[in-house]
Amino acid sequence: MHELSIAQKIIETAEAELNKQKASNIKKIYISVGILSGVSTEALDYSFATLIKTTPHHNCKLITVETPLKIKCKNCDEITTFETQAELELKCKSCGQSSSNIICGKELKIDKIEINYD
Amino acid sequence: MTKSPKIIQIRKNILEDNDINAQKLRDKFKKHKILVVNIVSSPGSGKTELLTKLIPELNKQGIKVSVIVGDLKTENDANRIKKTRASTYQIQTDGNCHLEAHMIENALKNIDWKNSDILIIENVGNLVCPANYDLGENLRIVLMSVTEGEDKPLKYPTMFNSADVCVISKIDLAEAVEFNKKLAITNLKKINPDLKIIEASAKTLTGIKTLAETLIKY
Repeated sequence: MHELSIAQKIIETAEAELNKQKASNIKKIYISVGILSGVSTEALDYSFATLIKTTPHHNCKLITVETPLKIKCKNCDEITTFETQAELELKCKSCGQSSSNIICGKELKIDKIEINYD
Repeated sequence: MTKSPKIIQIRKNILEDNDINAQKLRDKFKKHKILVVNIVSSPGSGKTELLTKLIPELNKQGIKVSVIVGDLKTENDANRIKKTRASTYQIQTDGNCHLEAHMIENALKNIDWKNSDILIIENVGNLVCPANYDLGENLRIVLMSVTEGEDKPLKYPTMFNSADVCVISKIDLAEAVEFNKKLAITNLKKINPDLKIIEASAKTLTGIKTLAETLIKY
């Protein structure tokens, strides 16, 4: 359950930015979670909802975009996309070559925040 | 006058603090020419038992080893490893499900790591959370024991994808538990085509030499 510490980090990062901007509260936090990031978005939502209640930003929404896994084939340069972990097999859909050349899908990023000044 | 809401672009890794700490550690280890190995697996896959056999084998080949071991509670694993005479320190995470780079930095004060050739970090037994936390290691080894089922890599793809080496442990029990080795290897390669696979048993010492040589050559 490392989602709790990840939710904590998200809130800390957003609050640091809020202070830098001299704004009053956070309205929305946008994050990207790769399907191979090892994070459960459900557990993260739950952790975030629990923690955000302890801050002045009670109504802040966490908006999560799940990003696909993409591999680039070293053989034919073709990019293969996997939308979910189901039936995952890291090989090129075009030529069948196995590939560990991951170009995205492991990320865990805070993209942007929406803040209020009232 | 109240300003209207504003969108601020951040574009930052959520675990950036850990990544920065891990990179500092990696630079430090490089300066001292120490190979750092992070060993991960589910609880009970045999990480500690494997180390009690691997360390003497490395010592035999002139390699000095120091060890940091992470558990939620107890010094039990460190006490088992200390019998190999390796400089060992136990981190008790007190509930935390993984080790983080700053914990390694603190633990270094308690072991003679500068005087070793290899630092082995035995992570908390958990196939999920430790995958996200870089500890400044050069090599990540995941253990999968034959008793766990051949589909472990498919169930925990992040961890198996993040590893460089997979040790199939307790291989002496393979027959008893009807372990389908071919299927296990197919599954491992599906998730991580470049993964190096070593079959090992701490009981019969199968694969211990191969694993030691893999570390020495790395």
